[in-house]
Amino acid sequence: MYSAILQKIPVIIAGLILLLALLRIYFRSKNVTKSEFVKILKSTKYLQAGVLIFVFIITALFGVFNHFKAKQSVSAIVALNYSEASQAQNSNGTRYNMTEIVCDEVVDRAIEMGAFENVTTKQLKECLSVYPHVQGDVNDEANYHISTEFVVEYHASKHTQHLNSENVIMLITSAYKEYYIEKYTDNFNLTEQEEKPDFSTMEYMDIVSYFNKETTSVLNYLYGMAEKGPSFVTSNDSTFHSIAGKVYQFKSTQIEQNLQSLILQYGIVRDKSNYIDRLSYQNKNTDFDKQKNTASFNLCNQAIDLYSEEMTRIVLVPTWDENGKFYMGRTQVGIDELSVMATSFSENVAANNKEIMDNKLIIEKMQKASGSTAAREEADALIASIDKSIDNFTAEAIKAGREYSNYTMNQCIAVSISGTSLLSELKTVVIFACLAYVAAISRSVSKKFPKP
Amino acid sequence: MKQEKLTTKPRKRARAIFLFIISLLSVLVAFTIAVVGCNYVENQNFKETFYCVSSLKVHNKIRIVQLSDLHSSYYGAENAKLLDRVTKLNPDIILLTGDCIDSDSVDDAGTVTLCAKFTDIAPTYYIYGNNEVEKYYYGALTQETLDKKFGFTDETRQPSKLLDMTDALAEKLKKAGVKVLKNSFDTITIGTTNVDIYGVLTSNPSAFWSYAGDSFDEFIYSNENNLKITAIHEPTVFEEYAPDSWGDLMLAGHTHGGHARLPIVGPVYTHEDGMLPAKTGHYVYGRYDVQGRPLIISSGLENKSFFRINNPPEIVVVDVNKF
Repeated sequence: MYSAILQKIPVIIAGLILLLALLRIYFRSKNVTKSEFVKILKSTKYLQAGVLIFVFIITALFGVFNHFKAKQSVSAIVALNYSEASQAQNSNGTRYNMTEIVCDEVVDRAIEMGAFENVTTKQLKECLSVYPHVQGDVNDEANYHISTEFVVEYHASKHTQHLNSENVIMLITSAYKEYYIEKYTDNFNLTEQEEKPDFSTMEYMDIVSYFNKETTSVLNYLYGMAEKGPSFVTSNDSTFHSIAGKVYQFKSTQIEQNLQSLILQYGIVRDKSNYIDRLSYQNKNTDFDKQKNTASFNLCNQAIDLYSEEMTRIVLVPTWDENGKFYMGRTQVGIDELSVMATSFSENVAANNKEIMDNKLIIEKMQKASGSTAAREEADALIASIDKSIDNFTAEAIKAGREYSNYTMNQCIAVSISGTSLLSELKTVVIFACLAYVAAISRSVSKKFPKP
Repeated sequence: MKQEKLTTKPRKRARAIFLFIISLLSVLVAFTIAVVGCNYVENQNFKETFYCVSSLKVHNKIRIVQLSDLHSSYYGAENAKLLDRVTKLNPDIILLTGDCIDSDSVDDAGTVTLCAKFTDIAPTYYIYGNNEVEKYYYGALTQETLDKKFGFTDETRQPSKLLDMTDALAEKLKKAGVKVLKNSFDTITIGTTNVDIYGVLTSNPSAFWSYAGDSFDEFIYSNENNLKITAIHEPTVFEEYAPDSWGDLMLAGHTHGGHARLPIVGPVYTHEDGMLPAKTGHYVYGRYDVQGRPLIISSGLENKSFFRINNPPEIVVVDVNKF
């Protein structure tokens, strides 16, 4: 603000001199005739060496001053290049907010990145402004505009004039890009990074469950990514589906077939009685659940039987489908809800039954088998190998996710920085030179007119 | 009487024009002196130029500080100003891309001490420029001079013979903990990212491929998942050769940013490419795209020249990120 005023002071002074000279000519010309007026103008030497040199010197000084002042103002255009931007959204679907470009966190980061000294976040933030590149008109429907390009301007203040303006704007936009990608793009952590359990003390069947959980989380991540980018091919010529296929295959063969079968076949267990007790206890709990689910299922069925026939009549509502075709829609009634609940309870009962049967099978196997040392060693080796493979799959999935994110987000924000152009600087200097010349000559002419 | 009037008027006018031209010239000379003087004073400090580079090979942000063409210049006592800023910039790697010691300087202790202090901040790499080569190898390392010196032909050339030669500066730098890269590379791990840094001794374009080609190929084709940084003092090499890849990031110096940079005209002069090198498409200063990868040329830190106009000495800071 102040620097902009300072920049205009020489132009204002030249303008004032010109104005005063013109006023003097105006008042003094009242005492002269038209022919005398023309004579004075004609007798004036317009190419006076003194005036020209004076104008040259002050123009050169103004040029240097203007150049240094111009260097303290820089702007950048931040362009959002992802599809959601056209709906004023971030890439994750949340609402876009342009003021985040110069928010405290971004400015803080920029200060840290540039190791800027003797400047606070507040002082630097005060020098920054952001506005849409193309302003729409909210009052005119034809000119509604969702901007995807924003101008960030930096004008140095007395607190920040020691900083290189281009560095400031470059680091602000760079810090914003970093901030945006961290906040609004894909999360690469497949699971909450828990500490890996100690397999040497863990029950073998628990290890199987742990591996199943791990591979399922990798699969979920990959299926999620595959939905976003089904045709995306990584640098290793894989797709999310192909990696998921490998993980699924691995899960069903190595974990569910090889490891689980080996454990059950040889009854490998660290503490047999303890583990069997645990499973029996689990079965007891599951049996309770089963009883509750069965009771609820029966209750729903009874309610359905009791439901009055008159109340089961449906109401047809005229409506239109997605293609705009007319049809009669059927409204839900109480009995529908009951039948859905009955189905759900029935499924729960089946699941409880399966869990109880599985646990009984494990208990039976554990009780019968001896759990030889050779089999235990084989299981340990298999566990180590499976663990390593899961780590590799996780790394591959993360790498693919990163590549996809880079593929989609690499150019999500494009930045172009522009300082004041030399041409505009030159224009200002030329205007100033002309003004200064006209002012100096006018002043000289005005003195030739006789005093009233 | 009439004749007298005719002769005195043109004489007066000629005198006025003469005075005007003299005054104008005086002003121009004064202006030039003022510009050169101001620039000289301004050049006693350096600026920092930041670049952002993206690479899929990077898992965590890596900051590289490049210092080039110091030519035994000083910024404060024992380069304290330079050291202070480099410390505050908190780099992961410090790369000195040649000509940090002037071939005419009598002593290299100042630069070696500075490099030793850099090693306390981050792993520091030193690449020789033409000035170090002239001072410690007693002449330019062109293919012709090297072949003559070792008695090589195209068939019998053994680049390892050159690399077997030791020199006083390399010994001092190694003692100080600085890694000197002479047609060789080093691997370093920053966070979880592996970085290969290749430095060239024979940066003269005539000797680059014949003496550094094999080691460069080894650098490029091994550990392809590592981030590859190629540091060559003379950027002309990038104009002369076009291998499959120059790596993920290239850093160079040597040109001093064209010495003076004028509005519209651009960089004025480089030793190799003469006047107005940018107009003829040469790599002079800043960021270029070479085979789809960024080449960054530093204008260097030399601050003794009067003709370094509108071209302040600089530290280059490159942030390599995954986006």
